[in-house]
Amino acid sequence: MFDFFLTFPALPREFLRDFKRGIDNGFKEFSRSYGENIETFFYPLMKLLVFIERLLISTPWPIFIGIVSILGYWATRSLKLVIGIIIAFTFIGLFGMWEDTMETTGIIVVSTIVAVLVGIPLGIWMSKSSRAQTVITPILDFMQTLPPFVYLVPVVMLLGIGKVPGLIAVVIYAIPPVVRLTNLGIREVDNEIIEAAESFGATPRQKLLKVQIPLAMPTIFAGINQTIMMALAMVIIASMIGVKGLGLEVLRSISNQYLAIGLLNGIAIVAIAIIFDRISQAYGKRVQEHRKGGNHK
Amino acid sequence: MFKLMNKINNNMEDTTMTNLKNVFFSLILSLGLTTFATNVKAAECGDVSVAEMTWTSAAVLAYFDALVLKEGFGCNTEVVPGDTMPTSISMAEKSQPDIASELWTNGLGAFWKDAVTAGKVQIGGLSMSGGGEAFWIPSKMLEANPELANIEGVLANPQLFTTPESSPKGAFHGCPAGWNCEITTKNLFQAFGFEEAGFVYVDPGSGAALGASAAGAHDKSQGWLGYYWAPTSLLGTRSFQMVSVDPVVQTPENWACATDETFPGNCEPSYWSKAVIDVAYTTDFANRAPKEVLDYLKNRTFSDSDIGAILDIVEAEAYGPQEAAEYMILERQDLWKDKVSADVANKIIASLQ
Repeated sequence: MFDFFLTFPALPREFLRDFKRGIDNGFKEFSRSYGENIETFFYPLMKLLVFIERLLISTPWPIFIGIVSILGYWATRSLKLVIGIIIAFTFIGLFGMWEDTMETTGIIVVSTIVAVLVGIPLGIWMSKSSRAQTVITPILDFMQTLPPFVYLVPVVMLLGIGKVPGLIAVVIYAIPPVVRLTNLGIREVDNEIIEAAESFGATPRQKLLKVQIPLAMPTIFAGINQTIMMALAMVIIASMIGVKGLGLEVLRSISNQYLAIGLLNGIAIVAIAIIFDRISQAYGKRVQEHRKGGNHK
Repeated sequence: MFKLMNKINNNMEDTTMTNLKNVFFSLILSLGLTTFATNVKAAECGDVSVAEMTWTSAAVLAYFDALVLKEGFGCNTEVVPGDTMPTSISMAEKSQPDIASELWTNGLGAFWKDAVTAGKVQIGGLSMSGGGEAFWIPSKMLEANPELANIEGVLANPQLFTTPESSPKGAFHGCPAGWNCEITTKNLFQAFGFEEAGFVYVDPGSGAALGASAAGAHDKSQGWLGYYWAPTSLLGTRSFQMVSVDPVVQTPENWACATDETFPGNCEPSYWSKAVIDVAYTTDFANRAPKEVLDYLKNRTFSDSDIGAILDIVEAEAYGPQEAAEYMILERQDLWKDKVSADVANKIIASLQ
């Protein structure tokens, strides 16, 4: 009698077996029939990835450092950051991690682009429709907490090893902040401002593009910043499905107890993270100051 | 910024440090076990930790040995997580865990030989009499292109092995970064002239990704070429063919080059010899274990094809390792009954009925 309460009554073993086999075979069937189509669908994305990586790798290093420094100065107006950028990339280059760093930068750039292109419209939709918000929020929670290999193995079975599955993994993990914060930013816009816009006869479209999004910009940028950071954090997971770059070196060094190589590559990841973080954060702040209507720097 | 670094840290730990974690985990588990030494049943044999490796056959064998030791010899067994490198290092350095049921010893470095010579660890018997590492292709490819059975045929047809990313070159799926076989695979890739033949080396990053790409290519009837090893449920359930390298044979000279981690770049072709898959245990354990337990560990050998058949059942029935071990004991008595005394065998079978 008490047995019932002591052991949870699991479903019959045959049912569980058929259930698991059903899913496994269903997936096999699916990849057999649609695998090729899905590969074709992602082909342009792969081309973009390869193009950006080649571009980054073939850019002469002084030009690359120059461009990042200018970008950094333009965003922050801080010479300290520029010096930091030069030191960081010199360190990366001197220790022979240039190419890996470019590969990593490439996948971060492309996954941020994809995350922003998909995430901002999603966030806007969520802010417009409370029903969308109730549906999307738990999906975002799911994406952030599901252990990556649970979805990586099927993705690799469908698409093989390489950049595209890596990109999918990174985007799945990194997209939630930009979606959430776009939604939040637009919902946070002062109601009186919206009413004012409406009383001037603004169409919903004008309201969105000329009032809500501009005012939400700082929050959206905070989201983009977080997305970039999460993408960097995923570099090592991505390397576990064959994405080249700093993550793969960390992986290799740790399985072989090469502490120095692991540390160097880890520091390189941190260095790019800081640079990306400072630039995107400073840019977000500048947008905000601009909106305040104070003195334009 | 601090948050971000934390994030990166966490991820590194979550994924790449799992191996190290496993060692700690197994250490803690086994330390915990020793405090429960009052168990009457375990009076004779004591607490025994058996390392479960990350692949299916080793997990099944670990649970099988644990069951036999527990039910047949009255040991207080515990299966602890492990992996080839962390477990062997931990056994050599810390004498923990006690037993590795399926240890691929010819891939281990000098530290293992030193530990065997120094008497810290001992080799029981061969865990498996066959199996091993090789280059594999899906058997389906052979029907249309019989010449692929030999490496020359493979080298002549890179266009059959393209992936969207490698195209127009063929993709050669190597061994995951950081694994022992990575060195060999990369050196052999060079030695056989794969690059000149029009192949690119693809680093799969992890065993899971390597297996998933092979399984996916097989299911989609696409071309696939790469490193893998038997016995595995992948090779037990999906039909793959080992690429023959006839007449290349392994010699001490060409193998020394193939396993040179500096990647000399001028190796002669070589190939894996038959794998040495051992049962290993620590001397610590050998000193306190009853003789019949050690005898069992010395005698317990399976053939790789028998294990392949087991793995096939494991996948078909969706068994976990514990259930698979029970299946072996009840349904495949032909495989193990002669390795122990009739009395012990009956005890084990009776315990499961």
